[in-house]
Amino acid sequence: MKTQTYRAGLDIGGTFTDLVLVEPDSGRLHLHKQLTTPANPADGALLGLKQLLATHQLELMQVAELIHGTTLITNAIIEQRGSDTALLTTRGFRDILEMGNEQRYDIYDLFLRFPTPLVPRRHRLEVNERMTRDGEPRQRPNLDEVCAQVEQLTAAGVEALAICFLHAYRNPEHERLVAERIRAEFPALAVSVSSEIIPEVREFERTATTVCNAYVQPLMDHYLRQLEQGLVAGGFRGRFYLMQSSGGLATPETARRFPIRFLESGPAGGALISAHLGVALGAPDLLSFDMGGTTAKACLIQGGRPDTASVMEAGRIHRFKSGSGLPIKAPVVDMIEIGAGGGSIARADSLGLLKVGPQSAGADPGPACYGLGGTEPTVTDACLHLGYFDPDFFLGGRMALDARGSAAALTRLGENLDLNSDEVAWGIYRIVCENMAQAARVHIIEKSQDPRRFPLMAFGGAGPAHAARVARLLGAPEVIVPQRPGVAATLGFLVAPASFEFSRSIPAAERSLDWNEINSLFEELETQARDILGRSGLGEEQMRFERLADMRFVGQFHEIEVAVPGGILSAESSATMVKAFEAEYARLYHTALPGYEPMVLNWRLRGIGPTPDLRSAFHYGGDEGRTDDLARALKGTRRAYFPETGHLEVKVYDRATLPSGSALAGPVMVEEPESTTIANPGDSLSVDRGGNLRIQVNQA
Amino acid sequence: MSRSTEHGILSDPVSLEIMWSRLINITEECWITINRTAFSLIIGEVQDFACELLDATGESLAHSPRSMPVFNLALPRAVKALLEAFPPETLQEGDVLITNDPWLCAGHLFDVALVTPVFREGRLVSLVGSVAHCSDIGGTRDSRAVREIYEEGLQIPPMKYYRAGEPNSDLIALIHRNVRKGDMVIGDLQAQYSANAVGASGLLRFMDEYGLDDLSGLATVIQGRSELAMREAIAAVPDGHYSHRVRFDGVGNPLSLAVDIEVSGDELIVDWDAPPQLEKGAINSTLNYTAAHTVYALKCLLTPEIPSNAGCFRPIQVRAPEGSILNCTYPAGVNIRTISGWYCAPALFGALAEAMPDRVQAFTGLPISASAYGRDADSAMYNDHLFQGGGQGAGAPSDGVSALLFPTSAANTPIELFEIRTPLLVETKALIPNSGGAGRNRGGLGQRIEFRKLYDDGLPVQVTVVAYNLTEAMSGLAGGQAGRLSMLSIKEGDTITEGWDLGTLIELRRPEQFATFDLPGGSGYGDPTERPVERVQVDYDEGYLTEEGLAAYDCEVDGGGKIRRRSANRSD
Repeated sequence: MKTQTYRAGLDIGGTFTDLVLVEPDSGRLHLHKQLTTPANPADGALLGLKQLLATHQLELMQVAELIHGTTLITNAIIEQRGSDTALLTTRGFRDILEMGNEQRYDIYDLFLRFPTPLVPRRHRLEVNERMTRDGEPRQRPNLDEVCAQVEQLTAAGVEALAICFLHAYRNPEHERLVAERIRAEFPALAVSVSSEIIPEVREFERTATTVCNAYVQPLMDHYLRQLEQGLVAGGFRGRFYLMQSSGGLATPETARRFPIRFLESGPAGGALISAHLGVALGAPDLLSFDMGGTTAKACLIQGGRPDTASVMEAGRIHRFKSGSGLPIKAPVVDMIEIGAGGGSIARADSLGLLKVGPQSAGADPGPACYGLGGTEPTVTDACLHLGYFDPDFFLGGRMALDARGSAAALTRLGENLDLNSDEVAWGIYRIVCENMAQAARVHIIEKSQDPRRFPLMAFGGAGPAHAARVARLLGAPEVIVPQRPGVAATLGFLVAPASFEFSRSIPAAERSLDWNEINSLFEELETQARDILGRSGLGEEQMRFERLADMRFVGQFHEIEVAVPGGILSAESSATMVKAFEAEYARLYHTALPGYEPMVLNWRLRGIGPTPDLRSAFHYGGDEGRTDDLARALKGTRRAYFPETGHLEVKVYDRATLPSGSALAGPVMVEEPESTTIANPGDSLSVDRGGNLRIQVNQA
Repeated sequence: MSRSTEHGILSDPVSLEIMWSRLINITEECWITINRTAFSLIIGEVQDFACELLDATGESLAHSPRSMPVFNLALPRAVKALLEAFPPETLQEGDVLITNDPWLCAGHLFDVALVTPVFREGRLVSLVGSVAHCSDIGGTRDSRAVREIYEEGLQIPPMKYYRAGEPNSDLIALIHRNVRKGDMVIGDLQAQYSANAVGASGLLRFMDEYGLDDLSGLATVIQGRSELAMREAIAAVPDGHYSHRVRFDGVGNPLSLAVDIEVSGDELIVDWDAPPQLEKGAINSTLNYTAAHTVYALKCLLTPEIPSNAGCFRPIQVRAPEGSILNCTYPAGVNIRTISGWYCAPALFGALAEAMPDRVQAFTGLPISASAYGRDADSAMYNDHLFQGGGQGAGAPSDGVSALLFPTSAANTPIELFEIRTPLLVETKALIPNSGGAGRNRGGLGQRIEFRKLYDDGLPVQVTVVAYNLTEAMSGLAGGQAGRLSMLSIKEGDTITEGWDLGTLIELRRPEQFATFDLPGGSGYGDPTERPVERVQVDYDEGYLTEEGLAAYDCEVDGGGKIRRRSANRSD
């Protein structure tokens, strides 16, 4: 009998499905990329998995662990393809979902558009119940009445239901009563309850998050069932996990309950692989830099891990305008997203300035050089024109690029700016790098760190071609390009620990904290976390727990996250917390507030399993082709432009055959099928023993 | 990268784009800082504040994208006044300037400007400023009774809030003693201080990176670009005079404003005609405030996509007769100057409706603010604002949004937070069916807010209400109809008290008293009978329209819930 020893990662994106398989002993990685099958994404994924296994004479039953992430749920929210959903609210408040925060996110635009509420008004029903601010029941819900209301909804075709009552974060009793009864009487209905999903104050954000969860619950359930059935039918007997936006793994059961926590699994994978490789290379502090076709993402890693944020926005009307989307309160890897990718379009604005992005040409028509009808120059066109890409080796030669198309598009744009095509190409490249450097700088400074301290881990199709310039602008010392940067995010799935976070609001001033209440709260949260982690197959001894408090001064509205000491908590523990809080406050806001009283709003507990160890054996197939002969790796030269040198002939190397230990002086280019790495004049590029490209960035 | 000369950078569309967006980013960091560190609902949640970067002469360079529009435009005037009081050569590093003078800043004492000069090698290179609406400034809570500004609270002429890095503790103690909930007010001022400090350090880092010794060259170029864009937009409007008159609720009886816009080439003069300033009632607007609302509305119409700075406003002149309610003189009462000033935008939109039919917006139902003040059973003081919007006016492109705040950039008050901070129980926050003005494009719906005391403890809750559109409906544009008016009432058993005057101070003593505020709907755009029946059907199905609301669209509903046009029936 064959043993279950292989681990596999599966990332289903809107366009591509990526698969990674790790051999148990050698740690060798096998990769597979194919088009996503939108009608039934599970089909394509299963087919791909089987093909990948077959190529290596393996069967599904030999896979011990499959880890999965997907953008399908996020896309369903953006495209409003979720289930017919209804909402039960406290009497008098059914329109909260539609009103939002009533704020205009662009003060000069009189005709702003907002996302259509995920629940139409006719499906938002009010329950005669009320809880006060202190969590005292004022009016209890009549459960028979509620059932009659829900009966009407299901008759109208509703498949999912969100329940969000006022002050349920303080006392969830009414929500629980209603949910229990509905779950008993309407077992086919997907039910999401605000006090389970996100028990935190602010009714609009809580309602929006709960509604969003309900909206994609049936979809997640259906999709997972297909995937699980297909896996089982194919002989899979291993464990199956999903990647959360926070970077932790969870079981399909958890994903069905909290689909809202799985929206950003791909980006989380990217951050995790950066962190993992960084630790392996002795660089636990670095900037993860992921640049694809539409966007770039930057994420600061410190001490080998990314930070977590507690809120994100989904389905924005204007992708880069904060406030134009739906607020989702769920733990998410804290990163900054910039509208800068290979497909970002350049244009002249009405002030005669060159603008790049955030509009993207996408895959169709794509950049002008694709020859598919795109007439506006993009970042990819600029790279091609500058000589950074080989028109005959794009996607490993699978797609020929039309350099003349790029030049024509650049020339046309230049006419509006009084610049020639070379100047426009360099301008586009420079602006896109500056935009990314600027956003990354803000992201790093928000965390009170110095941007010059962090090497960049660059991946995604476009990352390696821009990272050295971005690093130079940031003053960063080094760029690291891991092997196969095109599928790095999927690799990240394989280094994620199982984890889950629970929180509870108990607002109280620091000096009047009820430590008994808090100790028993943590006990309760820990029991919940043990339960969830236990179900993913972990033993007690493999779990660890982190406790955090969201603190602020009494009267403020926004918190700073502070670590909570271990063990039984008492008044002494709070001295440590207050000190940490005040230090962080002074650092962030340049001021101390003596005489103002610190308080705690939320208590959080993260249960975390062990991090899988890929470090010892992180390498890929294909080493066989390597020799020590640098000359054999030289593909030729290409004329390229750098502002430091002007146009010159630059050596181009093949990454697959570039020997470890090679040292090259910039400018130089290294090509592989899905990306090209650029080192600029003055930089030096080397290949380390793990096969990573290392660029020492010249800051002179 | 080779370092170009400053002149080279500034004439290069690539470098300029990079530096310009960086300035906007710095102001956004300031904005986030106030948002994260404020103490009052009005600043922390409602976001009634703005952050701005200015050049060394006090001309604006950039503001944060969600800044309060009027503050963006009033702050440069305040900064120039502060620089007059404290000439640059007398300032030192670590100074922070302050004023709330309504004639120098944003029109009433609540709006406090805090301005931090930024020095590079001992030379003033910029000012980072913020204006925020503090939760209290002392004085009466009954603005309707105000005759002069002395009754409205603490006046802070141009002063120093910090001197060379040390807090001006005399001033801080004076403010603390003169306002309700001094800790909250001073805490909010510290939030502004922090924001300015964050902005100043960000600006210096930026100047280091680009090797800029001062900002004058950059300022000239970006202000010049914005000015040029505004001039082009004005030139596209045919020369001539455009005028309009709007009526609005005054104090006791309605008042009206008239505007005449003279477009001549690439410049524009706005001439207001307004009644004499009122001796009682505090609805007078200073010229600063009038001008800010005027240029804000014009920027929305003419160049909504151009980053805002001083250049945008150079081609625009604003005049109003001295001593009128749009240009009142000291010591007039100004506390609730929104009652007059918030009608500037609708008057301007009305005037330009024919010249710019696709750009104007029908009247947006104005927000209602209610601040609740008192002491709870433990004698702890509370004082916080409940803020919410009316229905947005419709325009040629689309229906108005229901419940949206305009002309302010504020957000609403979350109900749960309001309840936590005041002993009130909000019973309803809901859209009002049929409240959107009918039109080919419909006005957004207004909303109903209903609340009462939570506890039967005999303690009074004072609620100061500022409301609009109680008696004067504002018709729509291009044949659209007016939205529903505001209504205020208190109900106790069978007794209903309705329609107080504006700026009313009410007192709730018993949980049986229900206070209800109906916010106005937005006005419609275009002939309602031209609204496609399918869109009327959707409105009906979702309950935005009920049967009573159908007549305005010349529609009716059959037994099966299907909407049809009555005139179509008749012609059958």
